[in-house]
Amino acid sequence: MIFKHARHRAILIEGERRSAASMAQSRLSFLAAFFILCYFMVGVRLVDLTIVQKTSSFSESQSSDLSAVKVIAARRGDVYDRNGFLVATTLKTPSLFVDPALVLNSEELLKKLQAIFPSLGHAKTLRTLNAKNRFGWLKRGITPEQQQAVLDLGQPSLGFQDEHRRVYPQGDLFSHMLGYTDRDGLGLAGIERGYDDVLASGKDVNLTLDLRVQHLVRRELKTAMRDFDAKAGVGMVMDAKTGEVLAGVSLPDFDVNLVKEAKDNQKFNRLTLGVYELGSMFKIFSTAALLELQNVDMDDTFDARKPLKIGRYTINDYHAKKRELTVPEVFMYSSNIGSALMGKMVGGEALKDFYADLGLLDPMNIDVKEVGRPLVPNPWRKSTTLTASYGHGLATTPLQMSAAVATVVNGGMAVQPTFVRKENHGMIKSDVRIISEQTSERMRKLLRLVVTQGTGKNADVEGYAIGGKTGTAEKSVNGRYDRKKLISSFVGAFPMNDPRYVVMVMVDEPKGNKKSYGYATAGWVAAPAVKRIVSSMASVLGMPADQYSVEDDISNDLLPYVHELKHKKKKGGKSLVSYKR
Amino acid sequence: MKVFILKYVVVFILVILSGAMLMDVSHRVQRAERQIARTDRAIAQEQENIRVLKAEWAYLNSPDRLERLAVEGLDLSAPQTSALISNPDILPDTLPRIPSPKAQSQPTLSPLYIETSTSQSPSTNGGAR
Repeated sequence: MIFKHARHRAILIEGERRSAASMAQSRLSFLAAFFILCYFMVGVRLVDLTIVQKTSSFSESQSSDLSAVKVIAARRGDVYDRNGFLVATTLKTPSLFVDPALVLNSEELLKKLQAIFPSLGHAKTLRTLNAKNRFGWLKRGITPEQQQAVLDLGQPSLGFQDEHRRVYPQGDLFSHMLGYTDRDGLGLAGIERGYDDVLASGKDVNLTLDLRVQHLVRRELKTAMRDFDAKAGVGMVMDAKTGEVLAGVSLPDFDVNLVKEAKDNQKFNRLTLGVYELGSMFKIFSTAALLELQNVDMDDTFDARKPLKIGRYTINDYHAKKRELTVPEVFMYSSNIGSALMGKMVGGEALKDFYADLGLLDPMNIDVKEVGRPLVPNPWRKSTTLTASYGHGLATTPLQMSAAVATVVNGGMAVQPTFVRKENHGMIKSDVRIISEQTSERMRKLLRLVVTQGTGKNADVEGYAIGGKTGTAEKSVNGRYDRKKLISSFVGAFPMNDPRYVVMVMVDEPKGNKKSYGYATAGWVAAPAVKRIVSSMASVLGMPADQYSVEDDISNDLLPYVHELKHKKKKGGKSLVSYKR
Repeated sequence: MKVFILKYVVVFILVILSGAMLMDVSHRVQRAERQIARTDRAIAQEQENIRVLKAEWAYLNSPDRLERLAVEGLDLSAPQTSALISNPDILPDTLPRIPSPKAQSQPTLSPLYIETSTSQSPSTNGGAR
């Protein structure tokens, strides 16, 4: 090409020596081609360096001086409550270290540091300052003000390193359910542990717990514990259909920001890990088994005239009626004898299978890893069937108990408790049927009857059709039941016509007071707490109080089977808004 | 010849010019990159600040604290369930009487009389009474 071109040019230029001109031309052309090639290569290299390689090496070269950006990507995910309130987050906090080789006067430096951090131990810090190595932590996770104060000291031996620190703005509100992490961000309890892999990958977690409901349950449980000078307590609110836990409280609890200072008694999760004999609550399940498996009418009677003797056991009634009781009466007076006879009628195998179907005999599979294993009598003797009918000798976790109650009242579908909102936002209705719709409806009426007429009267809140069952159990101390040490509990659901929420309160070792006439039983301790929880919940969740009236209460159907009716006093007019003072 | 020289001079100037422009562009790119890095750092810092503020906001809104403040600073108590009605049409149309100053000092106040209504001017309230 070039030759052709050169010759062509040569012909055009006339009057010059042809050969010399063409030679000069071709040399020039060579040179030009050479330089064009050089510039072309430079251009290619330039594009390569500035555009191709620059973009790929950009993040790499930037990461060193922009570590903050890189670190944020790997930061542990936040935890939010049901409504998007922040419950746990990770913040970058500076930590103070020392290079002992650069320390000039350790005594003087220590004095200055102690002025900023009063909690610094004298001997230990001095040892760090005088160490032979080149690095030692002085104080981890300090505040920006403290950092500034240290900077103002102008000591070359001191330095900072940013570290991630888990912060729980709600302090002790969610203690056991939320859990906590160790200093390296590894989940050690609760959701922090159960969802450790999700959180560690930087994803956020939304709890089913509702901050407001959690707070009011905790408040009322604390009140109950204080009123009755109790040792411990459990409170819980669960969606009766989906099993979403709105509140889960185990007292005494602790501030998750200060795990180190918490005692074992505070750290123990009584809701999901603790197993308790909850007593008469089991009558819900033995009665449901009877109605589901045997063809009984509500007016069938059970002989509760005298204590029942089986082997070395004698079964007594606490609220003894000393007569034949109908099914509703056995339930509302919480008759042990009646329930034992019911269990006998159902049969040992069938009763055990029924309990197992309700998930009462096996550890639960839930979002937290702290799961208690129920204590089930082994072997299951004939006498076991009788005692297990009223909950004697069977210990379960309070959460398990509540889930089983939810199953019984919600129309009979199995309920799986959950603490974390799933992708499809709670549309996780179960399709496993445990009992029939009809049995569930009869159980709802019975449970409502307990509150309108029976042992749970103190739980009633007008307009919410609460139903429930009391449970007072003697604690087993060194293998013997102690009559003075009780576990008083109440599990309720409301509104009973179509239950939305299951509420449970358990109080450990309450002591009777003046207001309760010395009683420490469930009807006096746990039932009023449930009442207060429901009253406060209703306003938080916006549930109007005029949907269910006394006239068409569902338990009215059962009144013909109850033989000693007490007349209910009608309350006078109420104001719409009430005030303090 | 003149044409040739002129041509090379022009080419030479163009080469110098383009070189200078290249230098200038590369310098500007470097400056822009530094600016990006600075901005990224500032964004990261700002995001960190936002996180801290969010945590503080959550702390300040904790129900324990709000409840304490409400008890200390407000004269209202928590609503009773009887105040929760599904049909607001049944509420009376007129405001109840505002109690006389003597009655005001007594512990019970009539329903629907709220502290804020005292701040309304008497003339606007007068008509309703």
